[in-house]
Amino acid sequence: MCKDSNSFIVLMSSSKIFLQQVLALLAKDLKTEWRTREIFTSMFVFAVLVVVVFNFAIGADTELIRQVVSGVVWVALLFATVLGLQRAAQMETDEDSLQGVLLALHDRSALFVAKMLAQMLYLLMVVICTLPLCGIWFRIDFIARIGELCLTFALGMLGLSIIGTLFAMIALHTRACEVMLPILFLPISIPLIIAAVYATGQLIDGKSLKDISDYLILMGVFDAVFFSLTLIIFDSVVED
Amino acid sequence: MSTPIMVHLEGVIKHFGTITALRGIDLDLKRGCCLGIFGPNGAGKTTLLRILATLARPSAGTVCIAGYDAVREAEKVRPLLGVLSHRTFLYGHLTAYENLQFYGRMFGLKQLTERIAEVLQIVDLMTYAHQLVRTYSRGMQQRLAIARTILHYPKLLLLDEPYTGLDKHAISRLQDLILRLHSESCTIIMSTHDLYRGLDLCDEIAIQCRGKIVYKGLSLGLDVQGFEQLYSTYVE
Repeated sequence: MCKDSNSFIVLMSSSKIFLQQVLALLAKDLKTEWRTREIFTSMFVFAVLVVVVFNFAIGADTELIRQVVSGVVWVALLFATVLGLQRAAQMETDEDSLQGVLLALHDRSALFVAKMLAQMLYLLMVVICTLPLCGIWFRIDFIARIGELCLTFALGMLGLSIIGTLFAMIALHTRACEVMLPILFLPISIPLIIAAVYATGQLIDGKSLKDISDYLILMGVFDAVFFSLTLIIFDSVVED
Repeated sequence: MSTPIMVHLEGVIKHFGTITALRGIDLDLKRGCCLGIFGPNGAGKTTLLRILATLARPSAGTVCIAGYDAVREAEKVRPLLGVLSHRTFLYGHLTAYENLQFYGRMFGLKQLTERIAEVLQIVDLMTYAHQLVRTYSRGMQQRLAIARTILHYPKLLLLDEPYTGLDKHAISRLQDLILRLHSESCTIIMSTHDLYRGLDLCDEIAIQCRGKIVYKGLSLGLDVQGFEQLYSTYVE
């Protein structure tokens, strides 16, 4: 009984420290981003450029637009994620700050959770700003299916943030960090992107949530598997 | 009653692929001691300090700090450590105050505002507390790094080439601080090329060469010339 209560106290105290450290890291990242706006600007400009280029490439064929618009949006988000992650990683390597953070962490997965949440927020901002532009350029009414789209985008962005953060940390320990990140990140993200593109496309085509449930389950499982896996291996990832 | 051992290393080996950086390091350091590690470039001094700082895992051997296994109980060891290297671990887009606040929150410090004011006072940066760190000179950044290092009352200070990039004023501040912490029974391990300053501050000295500690002894009674001769004997 006493042993059980001691374990519970240790667990609660560890959880409190974990949460405290996640919040401190997240607040630091967001404060820095608020001042510099480097990550959001690069991600947003890149996403808009992708959409603009596709807009000219596709032309005015309404049927073709409906078929490819979900792919265009997710490709823009995928590559914008790479840009954001590279910038975020650079922030931690400028004065070797990552080492300072690692020295202060009780549980190193707090760093992963904070970085993943920050990346998710940057992606959310990019989606909020880019999707209306896509709606205007491609003449697609996203508002009509906003609830279902929110769920799809949430699962997709979560997955991108999880594997993006994991591979950004792995790439940090390599010499050619900027090359390694896309090489590691893009192939692994393919199942997630395929599911996200099909789910978004079918929602635009007027299908119901039930029709896309397989894709949503696939994305949910992808997120859960990689999140759990990363929590287990992250300590080794950030160590020499 | 004998002074308890703060650092205990036994047979510590570190490989990086085919390269062996440490070839069996054995070291015991009592609480409150100041150890200077000297050695040529590539001797493995930084690797040794990184293992002590729990930033790198030894390939073999035992590392104990304050009785905790630094590999298996790293989360208990980390709050006891203060690490200062020639990189500052600071964020340029945050102010000095915000940097210290961030690290203070990470360590869960109570009465953080008072503690930040105290450490900024020690490194003489109170006036610049709300200035972005990227606008600081190199010397000021290193002084702030010193404040970051001592912010959470570390019991073991690991200093890796701490004088690199420091101006005269900052060197004197750092030396005063090391002496002060030493007098407060803080254990210090410092790697440096500066034989004169190292000898002046440390009560024990070690010479590391090709991944091994080839000499360890007291600094008492040694002058710079004597130490230079000793160094040449083991290193060249």
